[in-house]
Amino acid sequence: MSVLLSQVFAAALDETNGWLFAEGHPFRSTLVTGTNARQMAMDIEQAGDLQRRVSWDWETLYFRRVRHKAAWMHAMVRRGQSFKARALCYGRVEVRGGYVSLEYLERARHARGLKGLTVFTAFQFARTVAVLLGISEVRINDPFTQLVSYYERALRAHRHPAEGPVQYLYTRIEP
Amino acid sequence: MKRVEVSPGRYVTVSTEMAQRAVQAFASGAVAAKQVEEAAVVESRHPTRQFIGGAGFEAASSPRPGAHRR
Repeated sequence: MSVLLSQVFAAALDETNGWLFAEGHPFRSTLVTGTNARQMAMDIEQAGDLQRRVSWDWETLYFRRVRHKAAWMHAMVRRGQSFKARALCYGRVEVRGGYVSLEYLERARHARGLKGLTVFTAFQFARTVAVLLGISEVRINDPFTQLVSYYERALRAHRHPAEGPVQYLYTRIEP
Repeated sequence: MKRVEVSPGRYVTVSTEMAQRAVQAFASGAVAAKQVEEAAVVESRHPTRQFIGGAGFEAASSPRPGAHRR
């Protein structure tokens, strides 16, 4: 990953955590690395969780699509010394395409305290990354169908395509 | 310069200019506490924990026991 991207992710993370702290939320965001990817993935995936509706393998996702790429994975953990992941988010920067994209976002079963926060935190992080890189579009790739209309309203996002099944939502950032 | 802990024991030094730009960038899309509360209500109505992402990655990974497609 380039020095610029490292700085951009760090600056976006710092602002995200500043906001979470200022709003009194007992959570903070931390970047997933090669050394903690496995543990973070296990925290979320929780073998035997029959309510889990997907079979996403976050550890493989990290090593295949995040490490050494223009991408990030951040975890939400409780403030303090805890590093148990309560939510994981994978996003990527598509410089040539001119967008930053949120690709996967999942909250752990037990992390009910994150309700309402997960999506906004991920979106704000991605939006800040986009602004810092001079990119004017943030995409939410393959959003959960039942939340599409909410995302449209809350994040001022637009559907793509405009009709039919949504591939992604996008928001334009005004210069 | 600002030293930011990005993960346990791992720090990245951010230039002053970058840090200032980040403050402005984040503030320009600020989220109100009311929005977060509203989002919590919406999430409660649609109980899912997978907010973003489809089947694309599942094909490239081995399914975990007990898991199935969204």
